[in-house]
Amino acid sequence: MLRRRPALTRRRNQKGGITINIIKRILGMLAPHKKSLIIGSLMILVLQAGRLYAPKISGIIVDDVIRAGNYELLPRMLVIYAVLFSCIALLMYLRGLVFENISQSVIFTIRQTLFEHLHELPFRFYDHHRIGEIMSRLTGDVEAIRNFIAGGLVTIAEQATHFFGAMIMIFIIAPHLAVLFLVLTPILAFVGYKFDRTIRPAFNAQRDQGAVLNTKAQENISGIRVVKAYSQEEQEKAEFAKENRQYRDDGIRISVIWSNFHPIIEFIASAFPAAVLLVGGMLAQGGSLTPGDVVTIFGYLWMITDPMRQLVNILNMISQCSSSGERIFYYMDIGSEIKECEDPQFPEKFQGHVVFDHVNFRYDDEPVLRDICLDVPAGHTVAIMGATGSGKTSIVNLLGRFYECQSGAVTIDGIDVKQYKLKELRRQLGYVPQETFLFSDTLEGNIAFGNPDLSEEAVRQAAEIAQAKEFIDQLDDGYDTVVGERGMGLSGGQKQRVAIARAIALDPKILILDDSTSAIDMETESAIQAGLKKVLKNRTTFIISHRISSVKNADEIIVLDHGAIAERGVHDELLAKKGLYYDIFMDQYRDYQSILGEGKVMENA
Amino acid sequence: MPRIKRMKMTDDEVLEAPINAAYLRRLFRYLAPYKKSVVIAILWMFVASATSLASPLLMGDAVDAVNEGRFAVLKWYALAMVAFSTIAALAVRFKVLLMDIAGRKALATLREDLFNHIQRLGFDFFDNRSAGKIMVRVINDVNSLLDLFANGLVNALSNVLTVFMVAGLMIFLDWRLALVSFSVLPLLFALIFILKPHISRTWRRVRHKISNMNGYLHECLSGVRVTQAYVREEENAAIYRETNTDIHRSWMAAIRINNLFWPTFEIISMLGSILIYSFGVRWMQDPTMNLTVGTLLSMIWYLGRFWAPLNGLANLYNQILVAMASLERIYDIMDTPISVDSKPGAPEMPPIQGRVEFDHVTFGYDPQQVVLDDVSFVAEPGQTIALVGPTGAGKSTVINLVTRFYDVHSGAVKVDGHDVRDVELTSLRRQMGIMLQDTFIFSGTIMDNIRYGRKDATEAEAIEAAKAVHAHDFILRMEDGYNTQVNERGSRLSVGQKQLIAFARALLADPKILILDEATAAIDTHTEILIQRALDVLLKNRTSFVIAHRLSTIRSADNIMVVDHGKIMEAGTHEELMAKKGEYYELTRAQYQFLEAL
Repeated sequence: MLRRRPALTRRRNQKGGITINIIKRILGMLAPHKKSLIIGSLMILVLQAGRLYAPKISGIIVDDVIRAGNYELLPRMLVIYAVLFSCIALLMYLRGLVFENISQSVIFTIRQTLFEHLHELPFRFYDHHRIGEIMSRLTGDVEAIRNFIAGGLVTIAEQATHFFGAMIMIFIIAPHLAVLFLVLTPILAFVGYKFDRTIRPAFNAQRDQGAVLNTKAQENISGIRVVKAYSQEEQEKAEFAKENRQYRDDGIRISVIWSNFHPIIEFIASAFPAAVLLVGGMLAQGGSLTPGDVVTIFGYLWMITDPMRQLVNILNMISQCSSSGERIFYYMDIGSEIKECEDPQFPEKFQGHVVFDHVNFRYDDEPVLRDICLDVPAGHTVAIMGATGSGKTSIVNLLGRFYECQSGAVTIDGIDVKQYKLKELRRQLGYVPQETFLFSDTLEGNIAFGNPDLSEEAVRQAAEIAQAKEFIDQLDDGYDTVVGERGMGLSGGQKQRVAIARAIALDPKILILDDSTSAIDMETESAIQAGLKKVLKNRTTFIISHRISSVKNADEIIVLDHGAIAERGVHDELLAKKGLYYDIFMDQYRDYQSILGEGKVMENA
Repeated sequence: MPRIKRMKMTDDEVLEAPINAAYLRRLFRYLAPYKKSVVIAILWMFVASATSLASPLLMGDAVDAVNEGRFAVLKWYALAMVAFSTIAALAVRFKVLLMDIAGRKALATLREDLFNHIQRLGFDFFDNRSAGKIMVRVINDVNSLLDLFANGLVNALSNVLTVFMVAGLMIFLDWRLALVSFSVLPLLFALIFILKPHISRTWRRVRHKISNMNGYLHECLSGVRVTQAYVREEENAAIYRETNTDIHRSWMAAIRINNLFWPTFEIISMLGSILIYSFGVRWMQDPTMNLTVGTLLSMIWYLGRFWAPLNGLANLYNQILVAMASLERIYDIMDTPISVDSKPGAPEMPPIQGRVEFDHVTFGYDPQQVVLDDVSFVAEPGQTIALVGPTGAGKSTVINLVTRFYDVHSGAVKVDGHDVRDVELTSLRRQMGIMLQDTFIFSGTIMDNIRYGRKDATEAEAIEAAKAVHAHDFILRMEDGYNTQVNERGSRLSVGQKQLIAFARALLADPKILILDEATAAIDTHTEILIQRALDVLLKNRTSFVIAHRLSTIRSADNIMVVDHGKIMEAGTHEELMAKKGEYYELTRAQYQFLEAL
């Protein structure tokens, strides 16, 4: 089952805690790249060993070459130095490639898996999740994981080896100094941790305020015509200014926190070289430390203070990865309630006999359809009417198993739709949904959407039946015109006609028209119907409409009321009943009747 | 193979643009009020650069002290090191505070200016642009300037200064070793100023690929229901895989170049150090050269201080290029002229009686294309004017001119005898109520939405208005009644309910002239009846212009104007026009005949 409120999960994440299980699961995704990981880790190991050795060379040059006057040693040391740094450079380059490649492969898989998974999720998921939200899973959250794998893991490994390696090296040279450092580091780490704790809420506050500002601007611009119509510009400016200034102040607060901590952190960090001079000086005075040793230790200092400074970044990176991972896994773990049956049927070609047998459908505990019984013989047209929210769309959605009914059964040609292979079932339905969506593709591509191998003639024929031919022919690029979000804007009626053509192009045995002519004027609609009449022979058709004109000729008209069938019959029967259908009819045609004043409507009816 | 070609996702946002000095000048004018802050910040930055350069010198001297057995002075070195680091950190702190605050304030002002300008722009501006694109400019593009604002300018100065200070210090310490070390600088310059731009080019390619992928992703998610209905999941996944692979490939290509930077830097540093050691150690053997170990080490450490400022300067250039793209988009809006505005010193519109006159009005959205051609008519106070005619005939244009959303090309639109162009715009529109086809619901409570046009109205007045338009009942049925939170996207309200709320909003504002563009979308019968009744209330006692689709609305109008081909073909009451058997009669009949034909 679906969990309903994703918002809760999101809110929980805002604290930015680290969940071990999530991190484990993310690390688990590295498993297929075990070989690369081992190679990469070996590279890091060698690289770090080299870096830990490097300061030694300066020490040796100072002590053994310069102070001892052993000048012939210098060329050899410099050769070692050159070789060492060349190796370091090479390893840096290679380990970067290895880990970047791992991280790219991992997020490639995450993206692709999530994308494919999202396409399997039922409509119900999309009823509850906004596209912007889903988008940020696949962009921002995936980026956080990439950052963790490519940067975080390497940083953690290298900073840890730096820190402990340098500590050990210093301990070997001057144990006292190492002990002193061990006292200093927790202080630096603590301040870093405090810093992280203080600044994160400020970051969160600014991000939230950013969202508020965003919404404000978004609403203002989308509703600009209303704003202007009511002359509310000044009010809007004031409201925007308020949010904008809050956003600015939230940003300033971050700077203030940062600048309060920065000097403290730098002050503590500067204690390290100072300690080297003080303690090192004393040790040198006692003869247990040479100037070369001091130089070597200077070379190690950054390896100790850097990890401390980086601590905030690392913690942040892990926590971001953790909360991003949680959000991504939440999506991945949502199962579809619509399951393929064990031994699915592959329908060859439907006859088109559709039966609803005592179907009940609840949506989030709200009854939507109650005890629906329908028997639509192959080739018949059934029309569905009823108020908004009466369950019209739900009926056709059950047919394609976009939702699942709780009791009763929907059968096609005598077999429960749940027994069919899901995709085969849907492939045979020509569905024109209420909300017309065209892809950013050519008109031809859009019409052939369900069957990319469709011939050019078939595309044109479908367009002609849907009355789209005329306007398409008038376009400069005709069928090659790109439409959709990134293409040419079509009017609502034009889009609907393309959507109808898209369904017709499938040559389906069962055609579903969900209020698909609402933006088309009545004359064009009648032309579409005339066109369809020819091809609708032998097709089972479901028509949802508010217009009497669209449903008048159906073999059966049902009127839904709060999820139940309130009236059913053909046009004349329903008019005679003087019930709901009659009311709708009168509402739409009373005026025409009185205009022409001849009582003609009723006669004809 | 699928024969039908898929459109390649292309970018529509430019990511970088050439430098335009005029834009930059205008941008930095926003910093003018903070001139003092900027100057002080620059001074702090100098302090920070100077003090942070002390430690290599101190460390080198300290090594000498150890070497020469002067242990007593070491504590002073230690103290100085802490002191200099702390002063440097404090200086950075002050600089950041000053610049960040100045930068953020300047940006907030810029954003407000931009937003305020958008509020004044005419409808023609919004006709051609999606809300999303405008949004990006107000939010993201302005945000992306922060770095340049807060850090760019000051850091550039300090970087240049640091480079010279480091060079100066090195020469001061030992000019011969300095010259030796400078021999690697060309390499460093090459690395930073040749490789760097190359790196940013490759990343640009990656960003394009990512942007392509996101475009496709957004589209797939928006159309997922269609995809599932048409079983296109696999095709979509394959296309996505392509874009996904593209990213992987271009990312790795970028990384291969990007990751050259640090290793190369290491090698260059190594070369510098080797040079310093080999020359330094040789010269140290000559006592006349007067060279110490400490100086030699300081030289090596200073050499490492070159890259940060140089790198910063290289980044600055890139930063400016990216900012230019944002600036270009921001100024594209800022420079859009305000097409409709009050004349300077225009008088307020006195309380409107409601007489509207079109006096030989000619207009077109596009100067070449005339939409209204020499149209004249008069609407008397209190009349309801129904505008009918085919789509695109000019009905909406009539109402756009009454409300002065656009200005006429010739002729005049007069309200109570005042040319609408001669009165103050807000005072005119404030007395008009405009209801468009697609009603817009602001996020907030239902109460907020009803009171949108008259914020000072009492709750009782708002409820009164809702009752009058028959919205009261359904509002009470909602979970929190009038306090129910609604928004544009929330599907809580049906189309019909949204309309009723918009009616209440209009009624509460009590406009003297009402403009109504009736929605065409079919609504269920019950709501439809409510809306018709609400309309009767709304239209009473005020001059109204209605683009009507409901026959009932048209019939009860005082004057029906049939608009076609930019002209008013005929006008009169329903009865008159029906009797005339002209265009109106034909329009009405056609609708009916078509039903019969079924």
